[in-house]
Amino acid sequence: MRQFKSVFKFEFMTHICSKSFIAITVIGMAVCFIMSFLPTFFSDIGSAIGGSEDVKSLPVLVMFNQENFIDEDDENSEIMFLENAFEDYDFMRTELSMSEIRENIKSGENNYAIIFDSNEEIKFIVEKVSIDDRFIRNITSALNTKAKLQIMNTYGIENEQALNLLNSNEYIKTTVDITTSDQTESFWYTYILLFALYMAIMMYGQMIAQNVASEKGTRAMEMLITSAKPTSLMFGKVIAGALAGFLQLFLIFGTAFISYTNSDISSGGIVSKMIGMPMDVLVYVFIFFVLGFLFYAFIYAALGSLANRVEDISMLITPITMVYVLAFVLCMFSMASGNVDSALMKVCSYVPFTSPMVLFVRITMGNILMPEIVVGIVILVAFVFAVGLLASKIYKMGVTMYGNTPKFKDILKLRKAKKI
Amino acid sequence: MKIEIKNLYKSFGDKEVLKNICLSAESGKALGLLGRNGAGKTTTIRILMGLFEANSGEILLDGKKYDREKMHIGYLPEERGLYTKKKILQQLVYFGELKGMKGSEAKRCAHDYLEKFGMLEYENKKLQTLSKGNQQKIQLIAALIDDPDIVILDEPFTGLDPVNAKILKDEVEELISKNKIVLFSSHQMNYIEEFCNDIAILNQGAIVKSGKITDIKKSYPRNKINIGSNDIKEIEKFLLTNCNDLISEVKIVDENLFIELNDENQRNNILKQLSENNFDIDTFNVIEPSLNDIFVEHTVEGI
Repeated sequence: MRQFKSVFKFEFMTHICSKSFIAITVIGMAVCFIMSFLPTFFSDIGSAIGGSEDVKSLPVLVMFNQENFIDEDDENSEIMFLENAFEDYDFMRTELSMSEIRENIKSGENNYAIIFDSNEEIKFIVEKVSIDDRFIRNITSALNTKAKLQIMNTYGIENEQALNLLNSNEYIKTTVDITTSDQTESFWYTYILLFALYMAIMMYGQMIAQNVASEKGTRAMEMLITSAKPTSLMFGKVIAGALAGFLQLFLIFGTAFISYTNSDISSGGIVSKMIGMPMDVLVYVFIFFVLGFLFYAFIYAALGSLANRVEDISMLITPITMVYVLAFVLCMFSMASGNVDSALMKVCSYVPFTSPMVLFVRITMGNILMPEIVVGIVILVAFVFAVGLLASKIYKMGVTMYGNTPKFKDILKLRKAKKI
Repeated sequence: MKIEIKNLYKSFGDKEVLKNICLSAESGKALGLLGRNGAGKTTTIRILMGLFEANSGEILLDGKKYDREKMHIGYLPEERGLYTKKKILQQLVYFGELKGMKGSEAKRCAHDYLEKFGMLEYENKKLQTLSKGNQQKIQLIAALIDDPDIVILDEPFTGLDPVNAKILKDEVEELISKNKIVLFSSHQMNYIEEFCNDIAILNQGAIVKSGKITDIKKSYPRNKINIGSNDIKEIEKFLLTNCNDLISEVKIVDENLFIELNDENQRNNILKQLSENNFDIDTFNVIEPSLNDIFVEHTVEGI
């Protein structure tokens, strides 16, 4: 246990003090931080360079089609209405021709022009429509309400009653009861967490394999293996890697969480779905991250110990990486098709190579029974320990194997010959 | 303390690499393991270190079954290597901790050794910044940091300059004087002769010669004689004319006279005849075979 603690401490510090760890964490945190404040930042810039403030201060041209508006009182009442409804804006009646109005808008003298063709038809002239431009929508809505009120008045409904009617939307309350997991809600956070799990295992698994291979390359391994038990070394290394990975994800996602909750865009979208993620999902993320990571990291570490040089690693780990990528692709396809409980996915829930990802997806997006989860996790835990012990033996054997990089069948042969 | 290896066999697949190895080493003495490359020295050491399991045979410590887990063994592998990109003190402390020391204790011992080897200034430098010889000294510290009972040094002198070799020599002598069991594997016979009371020569996985160096040397015929004198030419002439039947070879080598006798018991007879004829003799000594000669003789048919 003491050896394990020493190995763990040494390896964990090596990970978190490494330049790549610091760089990825800092960049990840910075990206999350910047992303969360970007929309606010852009809107601030927009106003600073002559956006909404100026729009308000410039008078809005209002023109009436003289063919349909004969009575000047009608025209004045429209303008009065607009001025009352939109106090921030200055509405100016104009006699200019359409082409002159267009010219004014184009040159930036005015930002908006409203052309009343008739009481029912209104035309806006703007230079361009920006996404957050609510001016057109609001004017249209206000004029609509006004028209509805007038119609109601003709039916003899009092203004106050009419306004009450128009303003209240909810005469019938509706709720939707979904019998299965709400896939639209869970899709995005499952997608993001699955991807994070995939990336973390891939990145740290390879890092551990490289770490072991470089120990072998520098021949430090013979000193290590003769100073400490291989199980202490292997478990210490892999668990330190898992924790470093978890710390990194925690820092990046933590920054994202804090930034988003403190920024203006925290309502709606993927982010709020992530934040509103059920607690039990987070617990499952933790379980599958740890188990999936340990399972693959043990394999990667064992393979790393068989490499002669760091350059040999990619060749050795390709088959296992392929299996891993296939598991990820299977999950992605199942998620996209909406059927995460297919027969194939059910089988894969019990296969340790695929179960960390498959079980996680089925829990968040499908209908999985508790016994299935328990059996899947028990099998995975058993395999993690079995692979850990086997990896320790391969690691011990790897130290004495130099020369040609062994192929998988060579390892099996050696195992049979009880060399390890 | 006494460690005994009895009837050790080991094979990798079909290849038998150790055949009936029997060795013993005692506290306060150094045992030299000699053998050509691939003779089985490192495999024997690795079995002792618990890296391999023997197919058969046993290892005893003071007559009881040897348990690697309970032993403090300092091991300097033939292939040197530590963490090249880690600071020296940091990795020495790590190795100390792996061997069961407390962090503070390991730090103190590492510090003491660095000071002893004159390397204190490098404690916060990365290993890769050091020369090969100095890296080797760091590795030796990593092996000895927990004051082990058994010290196994596999080719410790390769790559060392004379000054560093002297430091290592002093350290090995100190280990022997501190009653440690020292197992020494080397190709450099002069060092083996200097430190080791006992040797075992391995060839093709089997021990072909073992025992005390002095006994081994004495077991060879003592029929080769070296004579130092101002009259060697006259002595040569005298011996060729008067004692030709006793002698198989006479030649002058480096201004000394080398004689090989047919029978080692005729040494006194020759000495008597030379003194009776008033030859002025400075030295008259038996030439013992060098360890190198013994090694070559037993391993020439090796791998």
